[in-house]
Amino acid sequence: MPDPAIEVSHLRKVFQVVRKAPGLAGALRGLFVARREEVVAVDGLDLRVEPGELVGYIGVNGAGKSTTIKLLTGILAPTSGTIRVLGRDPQRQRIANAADIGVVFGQRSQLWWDLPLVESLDLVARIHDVPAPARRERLDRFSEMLELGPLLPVPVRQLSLGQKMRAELAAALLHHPRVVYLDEPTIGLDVVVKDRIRAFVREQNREAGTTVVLTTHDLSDIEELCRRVVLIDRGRVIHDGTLEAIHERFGQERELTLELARPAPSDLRLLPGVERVEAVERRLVLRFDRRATSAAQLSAAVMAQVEVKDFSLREPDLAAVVKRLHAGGAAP
Amino acid sequence: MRRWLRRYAACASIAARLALAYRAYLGMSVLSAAVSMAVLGYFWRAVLSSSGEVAGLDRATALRYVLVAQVVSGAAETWILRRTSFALREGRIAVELTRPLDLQLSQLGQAVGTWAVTLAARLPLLALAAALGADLPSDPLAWAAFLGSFGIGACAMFGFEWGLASLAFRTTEVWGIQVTVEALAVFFGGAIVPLDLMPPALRAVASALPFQQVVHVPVSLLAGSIPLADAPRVLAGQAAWAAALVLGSRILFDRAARAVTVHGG
Repeated sequence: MPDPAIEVSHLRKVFQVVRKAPGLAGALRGLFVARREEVVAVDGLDLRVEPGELVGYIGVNGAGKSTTIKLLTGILAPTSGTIRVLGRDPQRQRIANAADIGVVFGQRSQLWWDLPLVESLDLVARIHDVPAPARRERLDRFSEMLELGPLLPVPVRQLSLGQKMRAELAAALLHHPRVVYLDEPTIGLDVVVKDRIRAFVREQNREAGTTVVLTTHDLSDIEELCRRVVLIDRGRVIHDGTLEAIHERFGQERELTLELARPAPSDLRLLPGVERVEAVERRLVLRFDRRATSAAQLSAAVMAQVEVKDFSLREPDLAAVVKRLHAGGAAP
Repeated sequence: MRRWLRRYAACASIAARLALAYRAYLGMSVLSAAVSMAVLGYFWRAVLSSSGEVAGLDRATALRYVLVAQVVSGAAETWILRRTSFALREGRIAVELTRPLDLQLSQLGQAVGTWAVTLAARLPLLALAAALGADLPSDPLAWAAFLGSFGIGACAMFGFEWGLASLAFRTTEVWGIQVTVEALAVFFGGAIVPLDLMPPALRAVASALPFQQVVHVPVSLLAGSIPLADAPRVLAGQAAWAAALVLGSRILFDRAARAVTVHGG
């Protein structure tokens, strides 16, 4: 078994936060007495990522995703626990670690706003000591894949959000890093740009074998790119497995929507465990657990009692599953 | 080593390009230095016209000092304090820390790039100084000593400001400190009044502060109030200041940076 790209054990990060009472009185009191509170951002996290994996790292706001990324990149020091990225302690060996990783923070730029994009990218590559021929070759290739050509002479501050994000991605990968962290890379982007970014990430992962850790709120990113998903909540891993496993474990419910010839009678008999979600005029929506009942059995039972004009079956998408998981509503 | 140098040379190149990108700011800083040179030039010419020498400085040396001081005054600005404060408040420090660079050395590299552009932009001011009556030396050694001394002095000031920047980790807001440092630097650096003319008590305060390293010392070497024969000893003293401040501030900053908190996405 090869050495893992990332290995995290019992990781914990606690921030000290100053709390001030509201209003003028609180502000005045805050001048003399600072009330500090501890906020546990990451709480006993264990994680192992193999080289070449593309892992989705998801959770709601404040779940600890971005803090984990900052710990993995060596920006923050852990309160306790250990982190190894490519065999190094990323905080103690920050510079060596930084040479082997690439990072995109969706809300922060690594480019220089007042310089043309081509100069920004060139400087990023020079900081990473990429030799001139490789620099040119990669810049040409990335420009083609991410359609950056016409943008190269434009100062970064004049680029649109989508253009900037494509440029950020190129900057993060120009030095051919072995591990890449993408922290919300598609935030606020339209579908076309998202598709281009996803295609680029997929290509880098497959062709160059780059290990990718992707955090996002857009679960379609995960569905498009990741086989493995790590779901965290309040700094702890609540699921680590394949997308299929998430659906298998938490996504057993289905919804059957029926278009009836007449409004559904109130005494319509349903199979055990089937829930009537909605019955408005001639539309009837039923929810059932597919482990207990099949869609065929349920529709046959309904058709035996009322005339059905049309029907459709809906599986829960990842967003719905994650929502239920965070709400604690999907016990295995 | 060459690889290492290339990385930090890239930092200097970034800063130089940025300094050139802000043409209006660069132009205005040169213009304001020219105005201050003209005002102080006429003032000191009036002061010196009644006496041949002041506090042991002959008229030519004093005038040369005052005029050349305006060329370098403010040329070693780094904005480290304000930049660190913004970087912390906006979370951009996170991006800086993901680069394979030592944070202090990368900032020093950037400062060197900025100084080079600022100094180059101010070169025409030497012609203005000559027009205002400064008798500039023709000895290349005097110019070499001046430039070397300015470079080392600027590094010392960088170290001093880097140490102060560690305060930003605790207070986040450092505007007041920055303004105070700028005011002290102008006065105790010797840009307005040559330190030789200050009363002994103020002189002692100025000697204990690093500001003189970037104006008084290099300008005195060019003006001739410090003999060129003393240049090796003076430059060695400056190097000691620079080394102590850069290394001392590094310890302070690293300790503060351990407590870095980058909140939010």
